Amino acid sequence: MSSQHADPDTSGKVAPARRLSLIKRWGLAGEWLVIAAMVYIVFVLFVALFGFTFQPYPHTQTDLFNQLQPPVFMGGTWEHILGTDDLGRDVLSRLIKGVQLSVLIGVIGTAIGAVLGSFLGIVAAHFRGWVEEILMMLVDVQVSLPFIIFALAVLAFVGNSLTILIIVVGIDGWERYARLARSMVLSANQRDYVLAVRSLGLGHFKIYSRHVLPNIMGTLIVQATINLPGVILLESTLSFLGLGVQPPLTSLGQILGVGRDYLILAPWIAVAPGMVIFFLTLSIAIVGDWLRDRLDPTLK
Amino acid sequence: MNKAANNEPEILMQVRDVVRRFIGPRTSFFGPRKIAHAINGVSFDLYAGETLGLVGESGCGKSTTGQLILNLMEPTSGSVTYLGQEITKVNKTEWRRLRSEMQLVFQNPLGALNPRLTIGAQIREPLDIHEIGDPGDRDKKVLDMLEAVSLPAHLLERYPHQLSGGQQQRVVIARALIISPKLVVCDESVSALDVSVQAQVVNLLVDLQKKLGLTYLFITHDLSVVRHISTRIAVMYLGRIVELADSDTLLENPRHPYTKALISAVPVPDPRARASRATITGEPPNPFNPPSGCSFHARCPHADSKCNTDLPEFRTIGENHSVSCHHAERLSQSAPDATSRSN
Repeated sequence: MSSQHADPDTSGKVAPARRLSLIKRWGLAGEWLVIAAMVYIVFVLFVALFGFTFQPYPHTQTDLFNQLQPPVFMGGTWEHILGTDDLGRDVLSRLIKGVQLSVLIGVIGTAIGAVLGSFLGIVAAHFRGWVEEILMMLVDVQVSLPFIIFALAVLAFVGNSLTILIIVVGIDGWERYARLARSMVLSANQRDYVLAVRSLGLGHFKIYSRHVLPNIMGTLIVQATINLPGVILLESTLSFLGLGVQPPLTSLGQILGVGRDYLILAPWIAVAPGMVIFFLTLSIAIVGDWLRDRLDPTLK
Repeated sequence: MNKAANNEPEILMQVRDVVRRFIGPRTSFFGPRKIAHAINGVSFDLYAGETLGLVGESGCGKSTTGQLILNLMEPTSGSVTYLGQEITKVNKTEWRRLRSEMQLVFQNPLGALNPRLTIGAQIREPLDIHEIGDPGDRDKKVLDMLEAVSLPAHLLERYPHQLSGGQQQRVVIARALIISPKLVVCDESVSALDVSVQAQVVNLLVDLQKKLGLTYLFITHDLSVVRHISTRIAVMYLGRIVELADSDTLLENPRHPYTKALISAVPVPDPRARASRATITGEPPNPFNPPSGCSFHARCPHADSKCNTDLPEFRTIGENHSVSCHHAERLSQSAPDATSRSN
């Protein structure tokens, strides 16, 4: 899609055989921060997907003779590159496992929120009337409720499993998509091109899938990139509080939570996952910002 | 310019006493809701093959009339009949067939095109929706249509924002005409275009009408455009048609003071003609709070006490010439000069 927009003259015979590099075609020339953020995100995704192949130790393997070993650059050994924690578990191995789970929860959670929220927003805009009233009231309730309290309550009452955790963090942010999708569908439905195909007799489903959704998708995707760091942070927060991922599984937030107790004695335990989270959320935010400019047709 | 040749023209569409109300906000918390009559008893016939120009200032109900005719909006009361069938009462499958015979061409061509679909896909879409011809046929039809609106074939793969305004409007026209409609409602279709492009598009519409035997309802606020294309002209004011006549008759011998004012507002390339302009003062009345009697009386230089109280009837005063004014007979041809300035 983006390549078609970038060079509209492909149909002409005169077009010289210009090989634009990927960086130029995506409008990334000079955007070093965005490129760095993308590289980092790709790296994290790679670790999440294939990290198990080069994970030095199982993340649960303890080594009680080597507790609280510092990382290499703080005087440790190459045996444990990022040091060990209070039970002698390899921090690097735990980090790899944690990234895997945090990314999994973040991506699936964001997808749940985006799909659910957008769908409800479209439903509200399509039916109007009492359906819209009720849905928008739910949105208002969700907005006025601190989500962390809601998540704690659900996890405390329903119990905890990975599935429930993913669903809970997935619900986070649905109201933002719902509001966004509703207002955009309302305005899109008033557009002449929608009126034109409607007066031609195109069915509702086709109108939404072919004419409305493609035109609002960009904004929803950007909203998802804004939300994704929030979901990862939420998972980290819940795990940090002990209500998220339960041992023996581990996530970045959980490692951070455990590391908090040794912040003075062995800061590397908490700092390593903290840095990963910090740079991951920052990178996604930077890329999301760039994507917003890129997907806005009026800025071209 | 385009007189219907046959003596007994077929009536394509019949609009009878159509009223469309819009309900406004409450005046106070317990107060009644305000009601605006966007269309207040409009009746006219649309003959096959003619172009009926519908003129009037902003907010007089021109576009609402267009939407009612296409059943994009339901009338509060009254009936719209297409070839003997009342369009609000036909069943869904029948309406699907009927609606392919009437098309709308919009004011803002860029807004009427989906920014994310190619020109070719959008012109082709009506064929897909109504499943006309097999897929190979459709591509050929799109090319033919593109040629008919004089657009080069290489534009097929372009996106709307890469085209000029005139090209965009041609695409909108092509999309409207590709399923061979009988009736085309042009809602301010050339108003957003440059004057030179306007002329091209108007000429294109006239050519297509001759070639395809179309009927146009041409909605505009611009009398100088409408005189080039219309067979008959209807003038609307505040939800009512105040004058309806063959376009030559209406332009040369307007009887309603509002029509006179509209016509004399069209710039004439003659500096001495300025003195004889009939002007109207004031703003159009608020449709939520319409004046009593003739809705034009507050701005009319000829109004008397009868106009303040009695609503003038829409009556026939000559061949194909109807007007709703108490003083239509008195306001004869020389009237623009006699019109006193009331400011």
